[in-house]
Amino acid sequence: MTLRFFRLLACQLLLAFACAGAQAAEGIEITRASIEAADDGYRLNTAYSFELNYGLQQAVQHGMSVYFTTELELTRPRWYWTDDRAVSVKRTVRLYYDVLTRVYHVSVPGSVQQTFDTLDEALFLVRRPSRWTIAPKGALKTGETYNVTLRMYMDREYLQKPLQVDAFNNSDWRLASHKKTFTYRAE
Amino acid sequence: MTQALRYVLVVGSAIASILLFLLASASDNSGFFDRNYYWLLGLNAAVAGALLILVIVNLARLYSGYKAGRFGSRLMARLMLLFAGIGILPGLVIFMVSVQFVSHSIESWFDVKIEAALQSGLNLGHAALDEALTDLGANAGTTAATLAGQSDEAARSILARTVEEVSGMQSAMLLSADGKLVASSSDLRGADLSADLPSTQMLRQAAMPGGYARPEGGIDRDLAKISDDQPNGLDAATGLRLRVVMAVPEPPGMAPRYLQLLQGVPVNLASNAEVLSTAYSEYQSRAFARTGLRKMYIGTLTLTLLLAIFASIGSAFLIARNLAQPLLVLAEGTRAVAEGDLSPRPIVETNDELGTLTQSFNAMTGQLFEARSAVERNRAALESAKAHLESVLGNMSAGVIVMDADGVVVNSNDAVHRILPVDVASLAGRPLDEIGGLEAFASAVTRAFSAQSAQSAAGRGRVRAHWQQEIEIPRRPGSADDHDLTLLGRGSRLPVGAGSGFIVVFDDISDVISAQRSVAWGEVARRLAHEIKNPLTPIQLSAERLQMKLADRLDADGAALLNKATDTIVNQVAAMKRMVDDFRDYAKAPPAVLSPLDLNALIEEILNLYLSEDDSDVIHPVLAAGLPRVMGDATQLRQVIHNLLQNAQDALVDRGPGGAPPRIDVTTEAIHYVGADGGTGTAVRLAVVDNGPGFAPKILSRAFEPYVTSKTRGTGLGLPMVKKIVDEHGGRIDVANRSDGTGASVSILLLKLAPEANLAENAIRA
Repeated sequence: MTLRFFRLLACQLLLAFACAGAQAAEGIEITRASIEAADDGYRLNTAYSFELNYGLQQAVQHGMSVYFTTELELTRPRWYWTDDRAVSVKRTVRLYYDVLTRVYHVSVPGSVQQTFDTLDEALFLVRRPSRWTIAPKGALKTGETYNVTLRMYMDREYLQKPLQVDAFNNSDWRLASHKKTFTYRAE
Repeated sequence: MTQALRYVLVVGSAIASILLFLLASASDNSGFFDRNYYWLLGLNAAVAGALLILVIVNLARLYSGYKAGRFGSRLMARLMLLFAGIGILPGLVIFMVSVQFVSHSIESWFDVKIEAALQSGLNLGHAALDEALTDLGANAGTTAATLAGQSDEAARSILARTVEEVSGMQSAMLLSADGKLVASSSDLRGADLSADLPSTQMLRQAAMPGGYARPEGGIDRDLAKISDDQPNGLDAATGLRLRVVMAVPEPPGMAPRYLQLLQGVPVNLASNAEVLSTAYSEYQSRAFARTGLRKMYIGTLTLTLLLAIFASIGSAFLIARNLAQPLLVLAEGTRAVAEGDLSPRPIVETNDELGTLTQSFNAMTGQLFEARSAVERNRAALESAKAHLESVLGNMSAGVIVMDADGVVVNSNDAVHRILPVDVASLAGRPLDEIGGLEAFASAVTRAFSAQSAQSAAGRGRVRAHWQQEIEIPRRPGSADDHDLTLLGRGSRLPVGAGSGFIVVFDDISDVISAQRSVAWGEVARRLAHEIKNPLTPIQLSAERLQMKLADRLDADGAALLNKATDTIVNQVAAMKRMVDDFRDYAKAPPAVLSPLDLNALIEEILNLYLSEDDSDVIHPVLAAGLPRVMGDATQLRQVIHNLLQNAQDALVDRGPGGAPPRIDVTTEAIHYVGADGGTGTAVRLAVVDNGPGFAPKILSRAFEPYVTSKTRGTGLGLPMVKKIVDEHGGRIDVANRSDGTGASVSILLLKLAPEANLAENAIRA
């Protein structure tokens, strides 16, 4: 009897995890991702494709901030040891609407805050962000091949706690991309 | 298991309490819990799950025990349900009320009126800003009109005037079409205005009719400040400003120029508007989050309820176990007592009534145990007494038969079998008169009891409690020896239970009778000898005288007849005299004069006489060396040995033709025995064994009585004489046929040894 119960429980848990995994990646598609070597370091060039659903749009237009986080990791496999994690960076872009002045603001760390009259214009900047210097010049070993893992998602950490709880089982508050992996040969 | 369960429950409850507290405190906004809320939630759920598993395992065990009818599971289940119910029901009630309360109260916080009021306030702010913008726009229009066609120098002074005239004006700039600064004026002299230059987008918009007019939130609330509180009014005052960019209506032909005016919003308006907008955003975000809030509260409540329920069920298990434990111990104890196990139960270490109960239960079982062991001891004592009695009864020489009122044998001892010709096993349970071979005995016993009953019924004189009677039992017709048994029987009534029984005790007194007969014969012989011997001498003398006086007077024939007759008389008288002498000797043998003598030497001396005869290979002496000297009368012992050897030789003559060659064994040996006083003693045994036909059974039992003989010649006084002499020597004589049926064996045991022999013996022992 006990055994059967455990089996049932395990099934439920598996199902829940599977659903969570499926729901974790929905909405954002990474249309372009590449790393370029520039004079001042390595730069990430990305483009995303997504739409804010109605709920999120409403939330933004009522003055709530929405945060988009991009996670990037460059690892180099080593046969004799664990992978060398060369770069692991995270950038959060904030989008919010000033209800008083009725403009959209997009602030990217390391650059000035930009204002837009419409949501689409503001989202354009989020979708096609400027190049992001992810590592200084000497951080990567030239000629080595790195595995790049890229992910972009609406960051729920900055949401209010009740909203975080709500986001548990409300897809309105879930916006994320799959993990995109590609290799990059350092120059 | 109980101990482990207890620890798990205590630790689990402690963890659950801490986690619940954290979760509850996490409901108000604070940074740490904000970030770790999921962890808290997950941990709580994990603890609840662990408790759930614990509870389920316990419930499953209880259920299976209940199904299997395990001892104590019913009580456990009832107590468990009781305590769990006490724990769960209030929790459920509180949970219901709280859920109801939370869902309704949260909804009630978000009121349409409040939202409308906030919206209106925001609209008011918008209106105020719009009005200020309109004012600024009008101002800019007039200034632009003034600036039209003016040189840069003139423009600067106009701008300076504008800045001075209009309150709150921060800066006024004149810009070329490509956005370059042409002339400017600022309320702060020498301030860097490059940051306030309009963007190309603004310029493009300014070129259109109506120009560019926007309020700006100058402050940059960057990410680092998000977690901090809302900007205060002062920040807003410095931050919020109005920007108007307008094309200067230049006369045709001149390059287009643009006028930008930057005016700070009045502090009062700015701060209020900022507060309002912040509040509006807050309110809106909370309105969005209210589903989540409700979920959070209800989730926390549910988790709390689950934890409380599981903890209460677990505690119920513990409490029920604790309560049921002494009862189970007691119940187990009663069952064990019923099965006969009186060992003490483990005592429950409590001061309450349950502890006392187990203690008194143990005391009770202890007393029971004592009582039972006392009974056991008594029974063992009784049994050993009975066994002792039975062994006494079994080993006593007298036969004992116990009968019930109907004459059925109840019990009998081994001696009955030895004395009577019956099987012991065939006795018990059968009436005495139906047992084969005991008819005479049974009838004698019955008659004796009847006579006693009659006597007691007559009531004359003093009635004796028992009767005593001699009973003759003829041997069975086909039996090997046809000598009658003589028993001395005693019978008495035995009150057995309600009825009465009979007990018969009897002894084989054949030997006593034989001894009495021997004594009687001795007496008879002595008197006869005396009476017969007296007339013999006159008879002999008379016959001789007749011969002497009459021989001359008779003729030859008569003389011959006379001589023959008188010779016969004289000879027969002499023979009779000899016989009478023998009788006299037997009847009054002189008392033995005991002195130490060597038996072996005596035997050798006698054997020399026999060995000198021609049948020297018949007698085989086997004399033990180092035989202790015995106390004896040499003359009498010589006669004993003579008699025995003579008997043996006579027996060998009687044996039929064929068979083994005749043989007589004469052996002496020292016998060591344990005396009745426990000390050891030594005796000397003399045995004479022949391989003749042996004693006839009839002779054997009465071999020591005079005139009992199987020989054609002989007085039958040989063995009686031997017996008499041996008795005088304090020895024992035993006559038997050899076990293989060929020949007789006579063995004499001389118990009196010479004193120095005893001393020597003791010296050797020492």
